[in-house]
Amino acid sequence: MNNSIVVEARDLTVRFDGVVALDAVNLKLQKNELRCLIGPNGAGKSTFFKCLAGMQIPTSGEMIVKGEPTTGFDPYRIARLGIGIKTQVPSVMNGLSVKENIWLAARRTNPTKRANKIVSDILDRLNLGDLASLEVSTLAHGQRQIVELGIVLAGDPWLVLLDEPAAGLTGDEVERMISVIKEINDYATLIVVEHDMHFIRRIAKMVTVFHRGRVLIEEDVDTVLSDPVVRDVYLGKRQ
Amino acid sequence: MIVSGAKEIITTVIVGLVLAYGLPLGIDTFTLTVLSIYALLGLSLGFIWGFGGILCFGQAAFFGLGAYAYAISAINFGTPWIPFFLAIIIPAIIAAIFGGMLFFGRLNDVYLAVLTLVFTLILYKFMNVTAGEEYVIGKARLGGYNGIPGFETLSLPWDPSEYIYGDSLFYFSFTLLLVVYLGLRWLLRSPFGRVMIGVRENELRAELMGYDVRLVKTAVFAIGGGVAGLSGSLYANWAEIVTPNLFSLGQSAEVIIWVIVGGAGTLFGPILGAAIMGYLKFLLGQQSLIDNTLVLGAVLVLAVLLLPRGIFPVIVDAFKRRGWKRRAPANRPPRGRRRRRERRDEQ
Ligand SMILES: Nc1ncnc2c1ncn2[C@@H]1O[C@H](COP(=O)(O)OP(=O)(O)O)[C@@H](O)[C@H]1O
Ligand SMILES: [Mg+2]
Repeated sequence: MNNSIVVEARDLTVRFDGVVALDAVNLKLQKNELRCLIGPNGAGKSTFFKCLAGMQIPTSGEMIVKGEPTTGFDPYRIARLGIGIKTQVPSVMNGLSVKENIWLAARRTNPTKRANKIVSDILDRLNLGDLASLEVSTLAHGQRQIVELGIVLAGDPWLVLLDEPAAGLTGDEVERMISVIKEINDYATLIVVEHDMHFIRRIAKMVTVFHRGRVLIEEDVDTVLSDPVVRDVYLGKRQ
Repeated sequence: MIVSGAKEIITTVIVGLVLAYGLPLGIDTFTLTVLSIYALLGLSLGFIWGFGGILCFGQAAFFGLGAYAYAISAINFGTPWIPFFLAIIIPAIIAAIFGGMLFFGRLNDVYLAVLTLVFTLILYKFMNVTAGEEYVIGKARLGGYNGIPGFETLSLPWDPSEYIYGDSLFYFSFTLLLVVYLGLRWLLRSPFGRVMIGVRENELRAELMGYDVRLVKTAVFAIGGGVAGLSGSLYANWAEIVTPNLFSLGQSAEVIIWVIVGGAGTLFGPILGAAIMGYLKFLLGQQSLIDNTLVLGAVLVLAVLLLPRGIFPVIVDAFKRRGWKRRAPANRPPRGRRRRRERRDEQ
């Protein structure tokens, strides 16, 4: 069945002494969905991603991936399940070249020759050819975002998590990002966290709004964006 | 890749031959042997620190373990070559177990540094109190602070009456230094080496790619332990006695100084640092005018202040800059970027 549930959060709660980053979040994701997560700063979106990717152990609650509880798994084990994440602050290997970064991701599951082939495909696909041999630390923020996307793609994940992928991108790069996201969605499930409403409008189908660690509303994009409560939250009128 | 690999082997062998024939003209081979041994020890730390990102304050532990493993097994077996290999394998295994506990426990770098230091201290204290007759391993008495003398040293495998000592011990140690150096260079180019550098660059990202960082670091640490053990076993053959001082804090500190002075982040730097500092210490040891730890300390401070990247990267820079001036003076990349890129090149 195409609409089987691949990710499920059950009462997921994360507390940082005093701050409740996630407050009993329940969320279900269907296979091949493209889900957008939005919400004001500090709503808990990145924390949710971290729980899913194994970078944060929840205080309570469970994360279930394809029927298997993954709560407390190390990040590498989650990655090996076929989940790739682009973190909010790009996490890349700064001292290495663009090519080497992507190669390391590709080499994990492929022999060297195939990894080399995957790297050149991804460099083409993301238009990174000219930057291939540059050290990542010399690149602009937006370019690093794209390199990190390349790293994620090289791992050939079935679930892709993108935390604010459009931040720091130029107009052209945003267009490219949008088309790549749509491309990925042909074969993989995606969750995208984004602030930029124009960006959301271009890609979104289902949208989940986080507010103060809770799910405020979960509806199709038009309903969500015309919802008065959501607007209030974004304009900060509602405390 | 293959071509540059062959070029590198040829370069290393030529430089090695020149040094092997040139150095004995100015310095006696007895001293050169111990400098090669130090270089090997420096190389072991340079590898795990500069490329694995693991700062070990107790590299002397594996050096000492190698020396003791050699001495103890040489007494028990009565032949030198099984002990020679045991002296590599045992420290590597102990490093794997000890490192594994630290890495799988996900201790942060500071704890790691402190615990490796404590590990050395424990070995040092323990070996010092093993003077009693009850401390024996097989036929070998540990001997406490007196150490273990009188074990079989290396000889030709096909003629046990021909001992490898004096000049031949130097050529043997020096050859091993070259072989290990080339081996580590090869390793760094292999997929494993590239992953290990990736881990050094960004552990989290390596983990998110699906690499088990703990396993990679444990393997790197074990390799470093094995090389340090090899160095220790050669030292045992050179000194013909092993004592607890091999585990001393001073020895651990010296290795770190060699790597810093020579250039962490390169493989050749630590070799150079060990040779220079080792020779300086030897020269200072021949006079009693100034305290030699004071001078060595001063050299370290000067190196850190004047050449924060170490001696070797500066030499490489100097050569490259001359090359650049000739070729393309106009488009040199900005300074910071150039430096960083060169650091990669030197690996
Ligand atoms: N490591 C941490 N330690 C303490 N507080 C944290 C930590 N990470 C996140 N928080 C807090 O948790 C809340 C949610 O953060 P985050 O998930 O990053 O929000 P978002 O991504 O939606 O902007 C914020 O109040 C933030 O300050
Ligand atoms: Mg965030």
